[in-house]
Amino acid sequence: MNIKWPKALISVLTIVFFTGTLWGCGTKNVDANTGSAEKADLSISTWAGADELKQMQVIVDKLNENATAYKLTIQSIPAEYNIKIQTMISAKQAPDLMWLSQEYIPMYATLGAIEDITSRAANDSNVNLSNYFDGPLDTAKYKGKLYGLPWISGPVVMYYNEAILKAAGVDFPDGNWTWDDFRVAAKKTTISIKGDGTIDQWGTVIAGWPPIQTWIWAYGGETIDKDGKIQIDSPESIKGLVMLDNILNVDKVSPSKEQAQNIGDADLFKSGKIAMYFGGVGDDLEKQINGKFKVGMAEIPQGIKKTTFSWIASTVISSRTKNKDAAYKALVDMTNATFQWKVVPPVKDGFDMVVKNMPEKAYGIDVIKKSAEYARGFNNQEKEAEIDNAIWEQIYSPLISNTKTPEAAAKDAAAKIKTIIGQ
Amino acid sequence: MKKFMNKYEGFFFILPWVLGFILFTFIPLISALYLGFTDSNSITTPKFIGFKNYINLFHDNEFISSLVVTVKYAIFAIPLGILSSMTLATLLNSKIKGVYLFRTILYLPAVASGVSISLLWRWILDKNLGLLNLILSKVGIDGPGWLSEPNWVLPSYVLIALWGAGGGMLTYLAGLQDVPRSLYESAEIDGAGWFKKFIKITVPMLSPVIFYNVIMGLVGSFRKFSDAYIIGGAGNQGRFYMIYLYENAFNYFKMGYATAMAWILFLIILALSLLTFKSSSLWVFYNSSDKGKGKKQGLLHRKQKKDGNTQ
Repeated sequence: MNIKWPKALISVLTIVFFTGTLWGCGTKNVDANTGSAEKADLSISTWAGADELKQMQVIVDKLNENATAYKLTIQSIPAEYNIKIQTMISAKQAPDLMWLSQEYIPMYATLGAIEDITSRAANDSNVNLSNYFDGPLDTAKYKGKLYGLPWISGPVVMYYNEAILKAAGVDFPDGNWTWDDFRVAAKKTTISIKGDGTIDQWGTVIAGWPPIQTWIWAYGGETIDKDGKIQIDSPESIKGLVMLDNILNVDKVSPSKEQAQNIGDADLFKSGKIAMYFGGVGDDLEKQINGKFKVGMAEIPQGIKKTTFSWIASTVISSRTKNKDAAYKALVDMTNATFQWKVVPPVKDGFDMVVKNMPEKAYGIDVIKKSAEYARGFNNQEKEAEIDNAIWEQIYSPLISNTKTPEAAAKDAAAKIKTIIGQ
Repeated sequence: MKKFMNKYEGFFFILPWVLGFILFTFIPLISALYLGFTDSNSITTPKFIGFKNYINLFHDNEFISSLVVTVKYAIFAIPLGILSSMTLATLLNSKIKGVYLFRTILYLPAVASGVSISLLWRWILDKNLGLLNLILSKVGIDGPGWLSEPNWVLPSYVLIALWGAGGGMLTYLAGLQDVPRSLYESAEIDGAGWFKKFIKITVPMLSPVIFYNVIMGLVGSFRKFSDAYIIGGAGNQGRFYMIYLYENAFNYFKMGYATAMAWILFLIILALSLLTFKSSSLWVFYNSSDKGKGKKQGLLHRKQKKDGNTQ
């Protein structure tokens, strides 16, 4: 029997496999500047998935129809977004445009991974920087330079279950509540519904959300100020932490962290077990509650001033994009189009679309407007992720589990942050 | 040409594997070794900083803490895991009704998805709403905060590991099939009871499987990640070595530091594995190897001597 042909076949397969492997490892040599029909081929990465992605695709299709300089393609990364973006940047394969959550901007700016758009934006009639609220715009800046355009700013507001407050004889919050007023209401609404002594309805739920800065800022404190100075152990900051500690450990008006994590704090509210819940203005609560009880919305309580955290994201340009002009144009067009889509846009004249896009939020539009005016992000630093982790581990988590005093927690956090930022 | 092909065709056949190994294992390994000596943030060009990462690691309390947590976990989880797997295998090696059903059920945790299991355990271990404390409350015990009280976090992880004992059970079951019946029969003739047979015959005969499970347990314990990533634990007690490594690499952009951690982990696992290998001549009995033959012959000789039946 001739046994040569199997050897030949295997040899051919080996060569094909080997060549295929090397081919697959190679880099595609496509000229991104020209692309098809003289438009620059640009990609935009997003964490949007499912329905959100479909909505975004409609916007991008419309932009592509009208644009002469670029053709945008969406790169959807619905899971592990930040890690994948980091890996892509590291491999020099970053998308031309990227959605970035506020805390990543200083880091990527420092590393030179994103484009400084300060002068372009200042001289562009399509960008009205004065129309932006200061809070969101500040998060797109680092060391005086602008690195992106914010497209969403979702301030934290206080949702409340009207039936629970009514039953407890608590007047609905009027927007001028202090944290002391909140404590009174929360205590009255933390009860055992079954009457067996086991608490099964709580005044609120605080298990890591909202950010601890909610209380620190309310009393004039900061974690780190705009100049990068650590302020987390200042008397003002500690006053805010003491307030949080009172809510959690003196009044005991929140379910345990495990309960909140296992059921989900928003789900606890939706199931009617929580009187007052801190959520983003864009949270899809009303539809999911579906009339089971009436939801109210109020500005979050104040300390010595009104302030609230806002979830902010920007679109940025990769510094490795091959066509910076087209990328900048796409950034501006995409951002302006997103103002008509995402609730809440970070601009002063963007509220009409809130009711249009989310009619179920109409009842709270005044609260949304007022909150947006003073909502803000963190004073983000280059090592924001490490700092956030230190704040969680040294303050928030110990206060939730009642294992540290606010003073000790603040001192430990300050020491830890000092080592992180090398002060 | 034909002569050349005949001589080297074998090399061509293994060439894809060799190239794959060089490209995807060897070169990354060497690159990682270099990265450990740099300040790499995975984005800009890394700068060589000598042993700074390694020096900093040993001044980093969180690194020490994550190492201590992992070592403590390994100390408890490996022996207890082996004990429970072996006990289960011994029980399920007997001829009881529905043994295949029991084997299947006990093996199920090994095939279930790690993430869903972690979520399930997070609920089971919940202080107020968890299944475990509910059961304990039925017998009058006020269960602890398994994940919220630092002292109970490690026992919780050991418990989760023991729940997966069915995976190891399979290897012991296979090992048990290889134990010659004649050994048990002669032991029975000598009047040995169940326990003595287990200690004197089953355990030595299973020692290669135990050895394998010790090595795998060591590697698994030090590389513990997915359930710890999801479940967490109070007071940093759920922050295992790999969790801290991951945080440094992907959350803090400290790829050089994380790579140095990976090399230290490699050295720890290597040292412990070598120690285990070295000690194996003292306690691992290979039925068919030359190394074990002497021991086996010695055992038989002793037995025969005891029986007064020396050759």
